[in-house]
Formats: sequence, structure tokens, C-alpha cells
Amino acid sequence: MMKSSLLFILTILVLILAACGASAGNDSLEISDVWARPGLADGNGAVYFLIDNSTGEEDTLISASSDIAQAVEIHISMMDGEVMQMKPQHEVSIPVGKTEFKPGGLHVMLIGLHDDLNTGDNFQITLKFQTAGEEILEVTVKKP
Amino acid sequence: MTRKLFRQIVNGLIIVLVVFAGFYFLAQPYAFQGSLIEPPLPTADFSLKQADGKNFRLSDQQGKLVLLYFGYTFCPDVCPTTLYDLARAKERLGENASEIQVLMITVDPERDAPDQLEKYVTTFDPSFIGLTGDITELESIWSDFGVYRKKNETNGASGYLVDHTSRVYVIDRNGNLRLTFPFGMEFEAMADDLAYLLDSE
Repeated sequence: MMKSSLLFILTILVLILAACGASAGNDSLEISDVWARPGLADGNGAVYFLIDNSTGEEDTLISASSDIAQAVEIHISMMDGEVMQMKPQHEVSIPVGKTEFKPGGLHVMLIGLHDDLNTGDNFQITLKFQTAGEEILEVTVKKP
Repeated sequence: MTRKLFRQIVNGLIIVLVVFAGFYFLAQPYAFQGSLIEPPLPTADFSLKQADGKNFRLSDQQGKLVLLYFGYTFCPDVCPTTLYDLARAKERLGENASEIQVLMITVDPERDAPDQLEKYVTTFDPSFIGLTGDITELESIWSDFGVYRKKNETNGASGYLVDHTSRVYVIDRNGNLRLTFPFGMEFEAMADDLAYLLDSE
């Protein structure tokens, strides 16, 4: 009885701290609509999201990481006439306003998935920004 | 009295306008949303082995609409986006969906083993077929369809990436190239074009 109520209080405390942590973090670089498409183990995947930078200053995305895959890189798909090219990006400038990572454009590439990604799965990736620092994103696997 | 007459004239005009508009739209030929190949181009036949060892021959598909895409399983963004849109377009055709065959021929034979290709394409729709072959067979198909394909080494974990033509080729029931769909075309628009082709032939 004692133990379970102590556990309850601790849980509440952790939740409150987590909520404080989240709101005390950089709340002016908002990242939303974080999703990935289903994928196969040993295959690749892509993560998409929307960054809303209302810090008043340009920031730079310098890396992405996750333990869901062997490697994680930032890529861009772009058309050159009729030809689709994909290019790794060492950094991506995030100007004030909205920057969208979306199919056929900027995306975080997951290389060598450890397991299948199925609709409804969740996992985390970490984005590192020059100014805002690290942002941990909760990714939902879904069909677009 | 004059107000009543005025109203009658306006009503009359509206009816005339609606009737004319109706005739005008009905008389318009169907406007394809993909890029129409006019006149249709006969396609060069090809034959490649499927993952199960059976031969896939393009000319055996006559009677179906073949949607041919050149991509690779390593591609995480553009290829899945296209294949997913093709799956949705096919689904939208309802009972006519069985008259569509989607094919992906690899532009990355080094990495795309036949069973891996099959596993990849069938995640989008169980009827999709993925094909590979030896480099000389593939090079001749790429060239017949005017496919540009270039390997680019990267310094990163991806090893190399492949730039490739991103259009979907629509081959009609007689084996002629009729349409191409550019990357990013809405799946509803693809389905409209495909439904028209299925109805009109």
C-alpha cells in the first residue's frame, strides 16, 4: 500500500517534471507532424516533419540520429529536368518561418532499419540544431 | 409588370446559358492530366525473370494497362511516394483495378536482389511486380524507354545513390506507350486518366 502510493506520487512528479522540461525547452522552434512511412527490416525509410521557426533568427539543422537504423542522414530529393536526384545534406538552414520536410523534398533518411516499421509504430529521432540544440522527436509510422 | 417581365427575361437567359454550358462541356474531348504520347508509340518488348523464376514478358500483358516505373529499393523517398500513389490510383479504379499491372524495373541491379525487390514492391500492393536482370538486359530496356540513370557515390552510409528518370510510363492494352505521369501527380488524376483509357479501348 505504502509502496504503491509512493510510486503514484513519483509517477506524478516525473510527469510534472517532464511537462516542465518540455515547456521550458526551446518553445519557439516547433516541430510538428512528425511521421515516417512503413518500411522493411534492412531496408531504408524516411522521416518527415514541419519546423516552425519563430525564434526570430535563422538556425541550422546539423545532424539527425536515431537507434532505429544503422545510420541516419539528412537528404534532399530534387528534380533536375526529368531526373530525380537525391543528395545528402551536411546541414540545412532553417530560416524564420516554416520549413517542411516532405515527400519529394527534404527528409531524414533512415539507412538499414533494424526492424520492420509498421503503421502505428512509434520511435524517436534526435535532431541537432546549431542554436536550439537537441530536439527529440516522437515519430509515428503511417501511410501518407 | 415591367419587373415581372425583367425577371422572366433573366430566368430565360440563365436557362439558355446553362444549356449552352452543358453542350460545351459535353462536346469537349477528355483532357488527360498526364502527358499524352500522340500518336501512341509501340514499345520494345522485353523479358525478365521474376523472383519465383518465372519469365515476365511485357507482350504477355496485352489486354492490361501496364504502369512501368524505374526505381530502386534503396530509395526511401521518391520511389515509395510514387509506388504508394500508384497503389492508391489502382485502388480507386475499384473493380477495374485487376486490369492494371504495376511494374518496377530496378535502376540498381547491384543492390536489388529479385526476392528483395518482390518483397519491397508487394508492401504497396500484393499485385505489384518488381523486376531485375543482368546489366546488359537492363541497359537495353532503360535505353528503349529513354530512362536516364546514373550512380553517384556519396561519402556517407548510403554508399551510392542513383539519379533516375522519375516518370511512370503507361502502356495501353495494345502494348503502346500512351501516357506518362510526372512525379508528384495526384493519384486521383492518375486514376481518372487510367479509367478513361480502360473505358475507351
